[in-house]
Amino acid sequence: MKAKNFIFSIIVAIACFNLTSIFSQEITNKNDFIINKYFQLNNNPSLVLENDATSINQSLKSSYIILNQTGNFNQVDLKTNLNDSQTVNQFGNKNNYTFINYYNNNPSNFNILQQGTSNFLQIYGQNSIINNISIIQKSNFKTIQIINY
Amino acid sequence: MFKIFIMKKQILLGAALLFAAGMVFGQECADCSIDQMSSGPRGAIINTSDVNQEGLTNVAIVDQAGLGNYSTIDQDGKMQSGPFGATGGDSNFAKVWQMGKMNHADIKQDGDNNEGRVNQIGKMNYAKQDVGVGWAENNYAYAGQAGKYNTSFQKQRYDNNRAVVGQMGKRNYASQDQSSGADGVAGSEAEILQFGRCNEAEQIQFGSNNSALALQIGARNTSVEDQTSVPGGTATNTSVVHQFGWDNLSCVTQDATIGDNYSMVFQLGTDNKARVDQNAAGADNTSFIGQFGHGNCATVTQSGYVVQGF
Repeated sequence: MKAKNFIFSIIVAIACFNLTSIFSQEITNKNDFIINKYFQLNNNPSLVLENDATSINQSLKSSYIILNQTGNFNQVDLKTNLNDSQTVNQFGNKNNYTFINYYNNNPSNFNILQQGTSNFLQIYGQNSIINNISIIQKSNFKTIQIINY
Repeated sequence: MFKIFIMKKQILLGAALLFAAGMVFGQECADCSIDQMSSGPRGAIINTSDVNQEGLTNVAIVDQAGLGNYSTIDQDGKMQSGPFGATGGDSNFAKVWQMGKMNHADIKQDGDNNEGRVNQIGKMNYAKQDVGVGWAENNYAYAGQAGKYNTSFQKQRYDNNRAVVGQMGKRNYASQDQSSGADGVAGSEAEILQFGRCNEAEQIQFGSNNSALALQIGARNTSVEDQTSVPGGTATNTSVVHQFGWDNLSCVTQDATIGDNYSMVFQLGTDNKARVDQNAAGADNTSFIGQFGHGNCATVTQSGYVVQGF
């Protein structure tokens, strides 16, 4: 009897482990999907932004910013160094985008689109991981914060 | 021990987030409201004109109609005793045409091929031009005002400066201050055009290759452009501001030593604010800001410094 119980509990444990791994896989996939959607790593053409700044030769050491805000009470605060290029579009109301590059001279090229109401996007610091990043936030009352050390 | 470490990390993270949020919510938008200089006396009851010219082919034309207009033109040939045998104040030209009540124009030009023109129609307009000292060379200044209580100041020092003001409506205010900073260098260029009421604009330029244009249509818009570059250098500043609507504010500051700054601000609506700070010290900066709607705020700081070690 004890042996049967022991075998049963082992089977249950193995089943639970398998189920956990399956669910973990799903969660990871969801995360990947969300992250991909945010950072536009997928190839969905509807999410692709036109980026005028990409055509700029980064070796020229120039900072290039195109900023468009349509709506009410939107805010943008950009502090860039040389080689930082950004295209920022905010449509809606009370959206907020802040970018501060402290010391980095590496070329960066951001594409930002926020559409909706009261969305927040904050990027502090810059590194090679987020170079050529595109962030699309079409929502309301959402916040994305990226801190690069 | 591990638990404590995690808790500490969480506290630190929370503090960082709070700090970041505080920075965002505490963010202040542009403010560069102009301290307006008081305009000169406009209390003349009878038309008066005082022209004083020295040197070579100076020309002054004054035409006044209405009540209490006042005009003074002083074209002084500072180059008469120049060290290189220069002759006279050269070919200065000044023209004032005033119509209405108590308009006041004051033109003073020193040296070289200066040209100044003022046209004023309406009430109590005021225009003053004070062009270069010494070898001022090819300066040009123009102010045209129509409406009531308009005021315009223009000050030019050295070389190829050019300044234009055109104001229509009531109580508009324009001020221009240009200096190339050295003799024989390329010059500044500035234009202000304002249609509507109570618009105010200020343009300050120092050094070479500056250029600024502000066009404000609507009411109570404010534009300040401050440009600095190296006299005789190759660095350039360019700024263009268009504002349509009410109570928009644009503040542009450009400093170029090595590299070029370019800024364009376009605001349509009400209560929009834009601030651009550009520093070209080894790189070119370019910024386009377009704001449409109400109460939008944009702050752009572009630093062209090369940070060593990064």
